[in-house]
Amino acid sequence: MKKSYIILCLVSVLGLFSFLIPVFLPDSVFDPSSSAFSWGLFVSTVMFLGVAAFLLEFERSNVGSKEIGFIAVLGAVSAALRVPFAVVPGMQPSTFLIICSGYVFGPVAGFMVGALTALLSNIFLGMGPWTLYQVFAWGFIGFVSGFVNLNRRWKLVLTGFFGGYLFGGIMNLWFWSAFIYPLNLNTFLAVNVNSFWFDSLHAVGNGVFLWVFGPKTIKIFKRYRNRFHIEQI
Amino acid sequence: MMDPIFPPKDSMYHRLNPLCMMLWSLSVVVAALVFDNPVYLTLLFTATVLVAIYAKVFRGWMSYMKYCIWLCMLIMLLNPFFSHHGTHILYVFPFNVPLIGRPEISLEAIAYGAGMSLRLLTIMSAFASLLYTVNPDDLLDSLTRFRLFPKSTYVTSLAFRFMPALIRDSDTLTEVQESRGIRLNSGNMIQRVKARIPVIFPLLSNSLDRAVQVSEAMESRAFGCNSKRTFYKNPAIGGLEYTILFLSVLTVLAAACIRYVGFGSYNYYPSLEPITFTFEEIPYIIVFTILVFSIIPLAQINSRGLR
Repeated sequence: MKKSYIILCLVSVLGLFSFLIPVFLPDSVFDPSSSAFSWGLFVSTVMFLGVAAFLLEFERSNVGSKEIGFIAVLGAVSAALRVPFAVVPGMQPSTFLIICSGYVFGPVAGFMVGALTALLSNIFLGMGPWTLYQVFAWGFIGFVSGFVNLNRRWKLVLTGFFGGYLFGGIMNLWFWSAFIYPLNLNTFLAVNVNSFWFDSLHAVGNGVFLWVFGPKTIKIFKRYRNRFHIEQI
Repeated sequence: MMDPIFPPKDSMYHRLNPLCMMLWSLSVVVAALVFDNPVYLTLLFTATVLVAIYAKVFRGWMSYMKYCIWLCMLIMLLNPFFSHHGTHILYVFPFNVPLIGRPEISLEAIAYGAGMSLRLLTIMSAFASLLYTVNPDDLLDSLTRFRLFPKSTYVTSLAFRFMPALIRDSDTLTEVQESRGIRLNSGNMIQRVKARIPVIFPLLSNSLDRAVQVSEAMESRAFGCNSKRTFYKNPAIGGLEYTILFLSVLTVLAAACIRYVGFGSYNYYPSLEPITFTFEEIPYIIVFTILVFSIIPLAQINSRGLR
């Protein structure tokens, strides 16, 4: 694993934990009930920096026109598939494509496909403060998929299942930190319990999509990847 | 290509450089996150509504805003359940809920929910004003020029151009499969997903072929060989547009300054504060109002060609 990837993972985990400061350090300087501190702005900045860190990794990576073309198309397909399914809770084919992209094309490409999915589909479905969090959540799922060996169908289904809860958990962090008072462990758990049904639907939906489409999609992606892979001897 | 989604309109805001609207909208979003006081949030919200009206996109703005009505209702409903900090109790439920105890509906919790909803509406309204006055394609093009995340911006721009073609492909493939008698919307979840196999795989293969064509076109035009890109369109940016950009940055600084000196906050708990202004706060509000609303007269002057 590249050193920068470890740093990115650490930054992401630390960033997510910074949301939980009110839970662990309720009377600290970051306490949102203190009127001198804008908690909403702080957490948005943390999330923005998290996304910027991943984007910088993409900028630094040695991607050519082929990779750019693939990432753009996969992001667009994933976003286009999300739009007609938006009315059905849990039926989000985007996550399965993001996981397959991350697995075949690598963690950075996976992040970019996830980020593009949120950004592009929200132009049609509604752009709002949640977009930044969706960019991070889907991007992070794509990034993590790049490190998992998904050579078995059950592994794919399991990744999709956990991906659904990870996405829901990150989005719950946004809702909880932005709109709920007081910010403590009880309200955090209550928000998660409240969305458990929707997150479960998303997780099961991912599992079903990956079970039905996963292996063949990976086969198609690998075929295109190998078609343009150049090995110097 | 974008016409069906972003119909071309002509207003003083559409004629501005895309960066002006983007920076102004961002300054409104940041200011909305900085302030808790409903008066400041109302000022920001009013500015975004006026921009939507003057930009002749009010109908589109309304259709966009209806997305967050449900979310606002959810925020206002959930807060009274979670918060037990209000002193004016309106109703106590006769049962206990795990994790949150016996729910009490207090006036403060409802007001907090309303305040947060106002913040959400302001942020959404700023996004709606931006999306309806700027073609995302032009905006991404402008961002690419700044070379801030150039590859990421380029990928987004490319993907955005693929979207309408892909939606068209997806519709065509669905119609073709339905005309062959495949029922896409009947049966249980797994049957519905399986029924989409003849739509999703051709769409994927088509799209990847398209990616190959685009990549080859990019390579044949020596993409990435020269660090400095050239552009087909070079929209000019005038003095007044620079002024709008400068004032947008100033709006954020003013919001931070107002909050730093102790104004712009509001405590909902333990009981609602009266909304009053001290004599020292009034100049701050006037300056902030001028900064936020300055885009309206400046865009008017700009559209008349008085650069």
